Amino acid sequence: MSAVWQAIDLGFASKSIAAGTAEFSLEGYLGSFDEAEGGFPQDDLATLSVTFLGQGGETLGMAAVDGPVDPIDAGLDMSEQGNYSAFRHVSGIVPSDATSAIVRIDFEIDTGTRPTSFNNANADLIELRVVPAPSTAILAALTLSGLHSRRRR
Amino acid sequence: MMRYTTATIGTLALSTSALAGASFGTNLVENGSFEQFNADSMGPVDLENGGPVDLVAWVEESQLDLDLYSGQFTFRNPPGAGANTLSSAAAR
Repeated sequence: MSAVWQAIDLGFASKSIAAGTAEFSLEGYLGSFDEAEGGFPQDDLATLSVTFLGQGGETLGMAAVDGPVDPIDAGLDMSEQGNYSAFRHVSGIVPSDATSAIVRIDFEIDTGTRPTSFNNANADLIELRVVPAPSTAILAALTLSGLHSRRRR
Repeated sequence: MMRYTTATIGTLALSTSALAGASFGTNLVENGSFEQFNADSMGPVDLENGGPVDLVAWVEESQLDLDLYSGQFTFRNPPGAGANTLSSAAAR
């Protein structure tokens, strides 16, 4: 197993997070390598995750998504060996006491069919975004406004 | 073989710049600022300074030769080992 990680301060969104109305979106391209059809499968795996931490460093929540373990899983029709990657995404609500997040990618080497010394899992274009979720009050106001406009026509 | 990479690109720099640029809707991940742990014989390498591919798990830095263009994820093996090309799942 190999891994990379990065700590991110969420202070800029503290109000929305405390109100439980901050949404996160975690995405990226994850992939691996495989030989051509008939070759030995190499199911090295990249996993993308975000862990939300509280002021004291305690874990408040986590979301993770696995990359594809073979070209078919990545939506590819593979006729020759090579690297592949596919878009992966996970989203949710940021836990209300979260003050920071750890974005991490784990690269797990396949030790099954034909163990090799090469970890081929890969990752690219990793993104974590936090956006304020539209509150129920705002949605209600927009709905009422829309109804009002229709009646005036 | 267990090893820690010494090629970590400072967390302090990350904290400062990430805070300065953080806002709703922006990408909070600062590519090029990952800390790394390598337990496999070859581990993750930060490629941010070398092109649009940010991370790859297996290659040693001296062997990197990666390019990404027009929806093609082009990968080249270490020198002398040939090259492989495969269309990516989505054009970027």
